[in-house]
Amino acid sequence: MADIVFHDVMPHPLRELGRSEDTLWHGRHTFTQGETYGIFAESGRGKTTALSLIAGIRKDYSGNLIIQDAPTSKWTDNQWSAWRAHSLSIVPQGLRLFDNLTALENIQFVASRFEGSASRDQIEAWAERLGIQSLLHKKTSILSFGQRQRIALLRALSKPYQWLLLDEPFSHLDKANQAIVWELVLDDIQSKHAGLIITSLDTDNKLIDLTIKKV
Amino acid sequence: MRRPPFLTRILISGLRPSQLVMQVAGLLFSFVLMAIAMQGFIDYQSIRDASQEGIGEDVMILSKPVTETGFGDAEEVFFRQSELDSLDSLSSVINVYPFQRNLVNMSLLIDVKGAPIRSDMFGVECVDPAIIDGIDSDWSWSLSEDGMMDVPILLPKDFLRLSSVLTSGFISLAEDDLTSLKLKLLPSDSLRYPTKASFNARIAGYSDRISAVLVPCDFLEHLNTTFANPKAESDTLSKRIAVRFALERIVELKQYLADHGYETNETKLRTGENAALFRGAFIAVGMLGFFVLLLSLTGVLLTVQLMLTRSKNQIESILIQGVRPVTVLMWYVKGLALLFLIVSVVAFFVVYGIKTMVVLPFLDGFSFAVEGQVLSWKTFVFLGFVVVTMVAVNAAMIFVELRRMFTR
Repeated sequence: MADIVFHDVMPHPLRELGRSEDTLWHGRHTFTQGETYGIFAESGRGKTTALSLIAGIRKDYSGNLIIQDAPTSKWTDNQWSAWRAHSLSIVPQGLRLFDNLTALENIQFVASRFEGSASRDQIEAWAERLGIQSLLHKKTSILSFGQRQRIALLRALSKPYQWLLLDEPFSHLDKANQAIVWELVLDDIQSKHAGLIITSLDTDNKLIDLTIKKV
Repeated sequence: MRRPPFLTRILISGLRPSQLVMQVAGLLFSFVLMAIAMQGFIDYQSIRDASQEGIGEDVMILSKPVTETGFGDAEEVFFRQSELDSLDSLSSVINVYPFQRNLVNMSLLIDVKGAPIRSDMFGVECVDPAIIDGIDSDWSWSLSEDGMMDVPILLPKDFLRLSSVLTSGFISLAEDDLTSLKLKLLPSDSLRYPTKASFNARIAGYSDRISAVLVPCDFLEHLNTTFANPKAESDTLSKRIAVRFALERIVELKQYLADHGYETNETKLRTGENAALFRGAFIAVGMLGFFVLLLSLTGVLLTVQLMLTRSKNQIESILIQGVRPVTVLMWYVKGLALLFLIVSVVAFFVVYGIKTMVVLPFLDGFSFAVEGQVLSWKTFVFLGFVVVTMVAVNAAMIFVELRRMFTR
C-alpha cells in the first residue's frame, strides 16, 4: 500500500509565518491508500503546499515525509518522476493545462502514455457526464475556468493512479456541477482502490463534509 | 510508459514563430561566418606552408636597367657574382638562376609554305628548366650521331603578336601554324659571313613567364663552344637572371629592387603584394571568425536560455504529469543537434558557393594557388567540433535548469 506519512513535516515559509501549531504541521499524520481525505482551511495555511510536498514539487520543509515506507528526503529526480507518473494523479490549483492543445489532446498527453489508461470512449463518456463533450476539440485557452477545471479533472482520472490529489477542484463550479464531478471522482477512486486528498477553502462544504475524513 | 505525445508542440509554444525564425537565421549567419573564417584561415595556412615547399612561391625575371651611360660597359650591363650572392642572401629569395646567352650570331629561318622568312640577330638564351613554364614537348637536346636532332625552342607568349606588329602583319601566324612550320637556326660569325651550320628546330611551347627565346642549355653550350670564342670575362656573365622568391616576403625583395634599380615585371610585384594582402585578409577573417564564434556561442546559449525561460511553465507542467526530466532534456538535445546539423550543412553549401563562384575565379587571376580542396576537411572537423561542443554545453545548461525547477 502506498501510504503517505507526514511526521513533523513543517514547510519553512509557514514556520516563518507562525503556522507551526496548525494540525497538519505537527505530529504524525498517515494518509492510507483507499481512504479519502480533505484539507480544509482558509488561504495561506499551506493546503497547496501540502500537496506540492507529496508531489515532490517543493522540498523546502523540515521533518519526515514518508511515502511507501521510505523517507523521501533522499529520493532522486527519477524516483520522484516515477512516483508522479505511476502513483499520483494531480489537479493543481492552476490546472496547468497546455493552452495550445485541445481539451482532448491535454487528456491524451497523460492518458496515452500508460497501460490501463482510460480509452477514448471512456473519456468521451465522462465528458458527456460532466457536460463538456462538445468542448473536447476546443483549445483550452478559450474555455472558462470552470470548464478547464473539469477538463483537468478528466485528465487526472484518465490514467492509473494510487493517489488522487485535488487542489480546490470546485472553486469555479456551481453546486449542481460540483455534485456531478464529486460523484465521478468517488466512482473512479473506488474502482481504482485509490486514495484521495482534496483541499478546499470552503470549510462548510456539506457535499464533501459528508463523505471524507477531515484533517 | 510511452513517450508523451505533443511534446514538441508544447515546448515550442513558448516561442513565437517569428522569434524562432530570427534565432535560426542568426545561428545560420554565425555558422557561415565561422566556416568562412575557418576556411580562410586554412587557405592562408596553405599558402604559408606551400611557400616552404615550393608552391607559395613565384619567379620574376630581373635585368639591369638600360641606360645611355651603361651602353657597352660590362659593369653596368651584366650581373656580377657579388650581386648574385647579395640577392641570394635575402630571406625572400629562394634561389637565383642566371641566364646564359648565345655568343655567336644567330639567324632564324621560317619556311612558310615554301616562302622562307629570315630573322637575323636572333638571340637565344638558356636557363635552368626548373623555372621554365609552358613547355609542351620534350625539352632535351643532345648532339646526335648525324648532328641533326631538332632543337626545341620556347618562345614568349607575345612573340607572335610582336612579330605581326613589327612586320606590319606580313608575319601573322597563330601558335598552331608556327608549331607545324619548319624552322632552322643558323649560327654565323657575323651577318656578312655565311652560316657555319644549320640546325632544324621545333617549337616546344610558349612561356608566359619569360620574355626570351629559350633553348636547352646543352644546345647553347654546344653552340658557344663550337662556333664562338669567348674572349672577355663579361662573355660568361648574365644580362638577366631569374629569381625564385617567397610570396609572403615580397616587401623585402621589392625594397631591395628599388634600392638597386633592377628592372622587373611590375605585375610580379603586385602579385606578391596581393599575396601579402591576402595573408592580412585571411588573418583578419580568422580573427573576425574567432570573435563571431564567441559571439555566436554566447548567442546560442542565450537563445536556449530564453527558450527555457519562456517554456518554464510548460516544462513544469510536463514534469508534474510524471514525465522524466531526462525525456525533456533529450527532446532539447535532439532538437538542438538536428538544428545545428542542418545549419552546418547549409553553412557548408554557402561557403562552398562563395569559394567556387567568387574566391577561386578571383584567385585564378594570380600566379599563386590555394592548395587543397574547395572546402578543407579541417573545416568539417572544426564545425563538427563546434556542433558537438554546443550540444554538450547546452545539454549541461538545460540539465541544470531542469534540476533547479523543483528544488525549492
